[in-house]
Amino acid sequence: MSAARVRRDPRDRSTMRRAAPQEAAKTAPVRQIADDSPLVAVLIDGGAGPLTPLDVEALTLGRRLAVSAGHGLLAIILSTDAPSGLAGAGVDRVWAPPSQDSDALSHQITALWHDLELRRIVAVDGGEAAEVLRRIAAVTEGQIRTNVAAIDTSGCLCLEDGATRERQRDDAPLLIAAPGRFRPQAGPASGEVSGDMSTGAALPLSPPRSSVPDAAQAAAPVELGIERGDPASLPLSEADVVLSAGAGVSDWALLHQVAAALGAAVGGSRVVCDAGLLPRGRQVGISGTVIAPRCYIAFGISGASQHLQGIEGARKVVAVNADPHAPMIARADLAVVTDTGAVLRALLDRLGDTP
Amino acid sequence: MTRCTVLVSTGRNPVTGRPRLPPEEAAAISLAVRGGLEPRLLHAGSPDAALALRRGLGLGSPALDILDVGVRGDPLAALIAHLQGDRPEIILCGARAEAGECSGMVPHRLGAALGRTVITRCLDLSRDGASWIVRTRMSGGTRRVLGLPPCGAVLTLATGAITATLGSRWDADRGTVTAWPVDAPDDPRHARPARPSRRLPPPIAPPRDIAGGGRVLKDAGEGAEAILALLDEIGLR
Amino acid sequence: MTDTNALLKPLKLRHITLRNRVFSTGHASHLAEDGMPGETYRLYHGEKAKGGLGLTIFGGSSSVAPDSPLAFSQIDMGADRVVPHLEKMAETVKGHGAAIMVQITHMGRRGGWRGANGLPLISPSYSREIAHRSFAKEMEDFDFARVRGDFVAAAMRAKRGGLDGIEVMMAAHQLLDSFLSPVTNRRTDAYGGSLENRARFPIEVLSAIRDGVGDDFVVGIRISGDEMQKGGMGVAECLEACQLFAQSGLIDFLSVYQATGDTQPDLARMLPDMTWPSAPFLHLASGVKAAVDIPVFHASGIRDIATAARAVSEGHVDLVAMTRGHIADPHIVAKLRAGREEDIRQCVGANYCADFGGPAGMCIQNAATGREALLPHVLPRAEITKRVVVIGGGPAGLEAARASLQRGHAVTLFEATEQVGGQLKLAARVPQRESLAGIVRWLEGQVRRGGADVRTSTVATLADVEALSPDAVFVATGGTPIAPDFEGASLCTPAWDVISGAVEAAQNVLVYDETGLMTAIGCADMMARRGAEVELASADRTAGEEAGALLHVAYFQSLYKHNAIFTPNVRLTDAFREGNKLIAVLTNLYTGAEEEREVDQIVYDIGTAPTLALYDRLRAASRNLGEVDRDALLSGQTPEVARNLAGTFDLYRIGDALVARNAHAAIYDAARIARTL
Repeated sequence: MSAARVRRDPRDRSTMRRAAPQEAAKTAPVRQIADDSPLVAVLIDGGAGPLTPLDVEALTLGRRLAVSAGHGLLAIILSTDAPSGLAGAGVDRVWAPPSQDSDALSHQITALWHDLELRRIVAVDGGEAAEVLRRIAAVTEGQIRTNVAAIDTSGCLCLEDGATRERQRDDAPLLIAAPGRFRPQAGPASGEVSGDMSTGAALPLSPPRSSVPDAAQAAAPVELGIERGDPASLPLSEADVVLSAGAGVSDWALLHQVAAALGAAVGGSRVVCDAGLLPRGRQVGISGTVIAPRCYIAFGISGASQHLQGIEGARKVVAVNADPHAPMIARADLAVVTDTGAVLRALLDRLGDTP
Repeated sequence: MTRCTVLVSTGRNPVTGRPRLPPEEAAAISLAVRGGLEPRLLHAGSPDAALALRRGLGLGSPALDILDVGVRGDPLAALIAHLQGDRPEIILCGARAEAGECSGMVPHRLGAALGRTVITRCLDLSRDGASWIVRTRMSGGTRRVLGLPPCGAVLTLATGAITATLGSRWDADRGTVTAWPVDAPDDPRHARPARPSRRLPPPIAPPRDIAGGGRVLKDAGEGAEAILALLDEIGLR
Repeated sequence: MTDTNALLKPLKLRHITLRNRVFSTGHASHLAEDGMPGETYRLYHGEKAKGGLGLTIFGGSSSVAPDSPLAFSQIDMGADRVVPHLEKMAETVKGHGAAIMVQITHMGRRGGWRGANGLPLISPSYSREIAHRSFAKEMEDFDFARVRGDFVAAAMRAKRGGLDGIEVMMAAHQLLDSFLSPVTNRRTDAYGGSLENRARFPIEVLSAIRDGVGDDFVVGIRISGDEMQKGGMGVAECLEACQLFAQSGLIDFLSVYQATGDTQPDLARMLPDMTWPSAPFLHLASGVKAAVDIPVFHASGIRDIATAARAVSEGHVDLVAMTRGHIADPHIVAKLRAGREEDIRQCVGANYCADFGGPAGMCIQNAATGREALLPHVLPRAEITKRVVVIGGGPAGLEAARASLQRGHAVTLFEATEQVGGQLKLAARVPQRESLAGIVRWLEGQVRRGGADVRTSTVATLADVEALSPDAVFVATGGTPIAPDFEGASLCTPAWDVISGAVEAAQNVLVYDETGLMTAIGCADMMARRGAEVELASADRTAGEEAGALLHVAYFQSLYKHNAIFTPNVRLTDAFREGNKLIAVLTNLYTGAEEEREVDQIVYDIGTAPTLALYDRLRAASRNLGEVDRDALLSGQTPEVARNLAGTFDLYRIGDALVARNAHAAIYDAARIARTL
């Protein structure tokens, strides 16, 4: 039953592809405010790179308050590096205080409050910004609400007892929101800002005099210096830079040298921790430690999904891997496809002996 | 000897909901003990807390003082009044309580009221002649070293700073517990009732795929340059 | 690292206290015998209880009535003869300190009609489920009271059998869920329309159950947090449904599930495998937990202790299931308590249990699961220490070494390549199958920590083996790809070479699948993702037919997404060069008609043939000449055969070196011989 043999291209090349629908713009709509608009201030940690989820949340809260009261939104950035994406978050004005010391910061922001007649200052709990706001509240004896889960014209809903209970309280001009309550996307548990907030609480136009007595200022602690943590013992969750190694790394001494030179904490894949090349506490990934460093540098890690999930919050990812098809390469902002040892040596050459 | 007070509160175990000494405050006691101090424990609240707080005595403290402020009394006001009279040189506390308002304001309000410097995120404490040296946690794993003048300060602990030594001196039967009623103004918070919250826990998002889609280089030297440039660009070198 | 203590806290549930937060959900183990949980079933759950978990729910989808089809050999809770079996189950599990419940359901339309004793399947509305290809009649008024009664009778049997409680299945478009879901419920009476109406019958059933069982019996439900299906209930409506049941006061817990199972891709969402991220649906349970007052349970792709501990300590759920986790290692909690986390054999998400399961093998990596009577999870030490040599470090060889070490023997393992792992090393290179490396990682860790002499990069010779004067030798040298049987075969590339990276993918590729295993579809997907235009030809009615109903899903999804062409029912019968192109000839199995393809690369998977060079030499020096006593093997005795009096050792050929199958078979070969040494 042999029929004539035909050569066929199984692919119908004339198939029309329907164009993908345009993604809806995700940024806040543009809004013009007058030069002398009253301002709601948001304290954020900032730092180079895209906005952190916490900062996005703070700006979302700030914008909702500002819009509902018809005010402008001022972002006060605590870090010297401005993050990207501020305009998209609906920020009208930006200010970075000159100091980094938390006492001085709180005094500078208090002064700004006086100068600009800020209406509110808000932050989201979990970062430096909330700590600074607490200090401001203490030194000015200002009214503050913490663990705020929702705000409306009748006041704030504040969580208590480890977020198992809640209590309605009067509105206050200084607010620290509970984390996770004011995410941009609406969800079943998303905190709301509802009602016309223009009549809500407002800061006194000029803050009360700082209540810190001069005597205590005189006895302020003396700064004795900054120590760089020992990268070898630095907890992974604390490190800004994590240098991580997988099965593709063979020269461990070199890796530790480069980490030390960069001041990076050393992490590793499950494979190397299982093999005993690094202690279990150094295992990065959902089955080990979940981290969100500002920069994650993966040497010889292929990037199993449990590993990638563990670095979901990393702001910049660098992958060095000889295999161009490793999933880690696709995840990376910067990829170097070559032998890991060569890159480690090149790094060490360029870093020299300077720590 | 330098007089030191550690503020303690009743926390709640997040899984079982049972009252406990919060780990951070237990760590504060350990930190003081390791610094060579004999800290007194101070709690403003109900004498019922003694059961959960006795554990702190086992960590190396000789005494627990309880200011009984009643059900509605403002513990902060009671603490301020007590500490203004008692004037310990070093006051240690957790960054925030596990139960109650959990505002995180106590150390800051205390510092303002007592005219003390507030130093947050302390990792350890050691003596240097008449003064004290404190190491605090800063971002990126760096540590700030501060010299503390003898006039005193309020120190809060870095969250999760020390847990390894907990319970090593477990002996809750040592030490004394004293409780006395204190006249404290009503906590204004109690003007309105609290109710169980339906809003816990913060929802988590489904895991997502993130495509870096970044630059791909092949040369080791070029790669090293690019890595260092990236670190420079985001201010990490 | 995550604090795992949260997992070890007890939880009060109505009249009982669970000793910790880890449990196993009701699942289809395929281990029932004649619809009853017999010895095998009892030992399977007893092992988990012995291993320390807090609660085991057995009998996934146990049927309450004869018209509920036994679609995957469930337990029949519709007959009184089940009670003595339940009593034994309860005695065993409770004896080890765990709580025990059974999951009960009426399958409704979910199943084939042949499994329903010749009775019509029933559903709220006349409908047909694609997965099981059967129509169900619309429930009439008289059906309601009968089904309600069936549920109550089954619940009473569970109570009489001494169980702590039941879980009523209210997901997967089984009968009660078919009422909840607008996809399957098109009724216009009081049982259809609004959510309140759609929940009416399930509430009536729960209410009748509660009336029947009284206060000292736990009743919970398993319910979807998101149907993930067009026209079905989304997150918001599922949440509303969860609140409705939680507020009814009728139930003690909610176990949050997802998806529907109407088709194979839907089913794959219910049982997320290794192609999914870890804990992919925990957010659904977390959302429910935030909205209800009763305990919330959840299972789905929570494979490691750290993730489980986070789920509980961060308050997303009260009880976390590691159901497949316990199939891979029933002793998870005991090892955690003993500080032996490193020894936990973690589920890799291969879904072998769900795709195959049953007495023919539950777990891809643990041969003992479901075979507890013959093959203990922890092997007792042998009275006499023997010298064991293992040739080949694939799954068979590693397991032979591991089991022999556990028996107390001295083990030397030869591996020709730099790293152990065998074909699993290759398989783990396929996109989204990286987790397979976990099987090797665990086995290697056990073998090295167990003190074996592992000689990698060493091709063993007869002299090497004889120098060790072994008592037993395992030949686990695996296999090599079989080439096509035609002249132009050398123009074709084995899938192994593409997967290993030895050969780069070309632009226009024909992949030929003759085994139906993961090899060809995985390889095809690997190339398609890298930009190749792929045609996937198969000898079966579909490619990947042997890969499992769940396992193939992610690869089909990816292949379709990357515009691969599927050509079933053909054989690859010839290949030749024409210019710089290759021509492949495909012959239709039904008509015999031949078609040509002009491509850059022809890739094939026709299976493997054993690698036997060393085995043939060892045979002559062995006592048994390689023969195994089958009856002894099947009954758990030492399968010795004395054929050659001059021989000095017993020789066992295992894994693909014996005959090509899969990783489970290789590990089972090794385990059941090694346990008798």
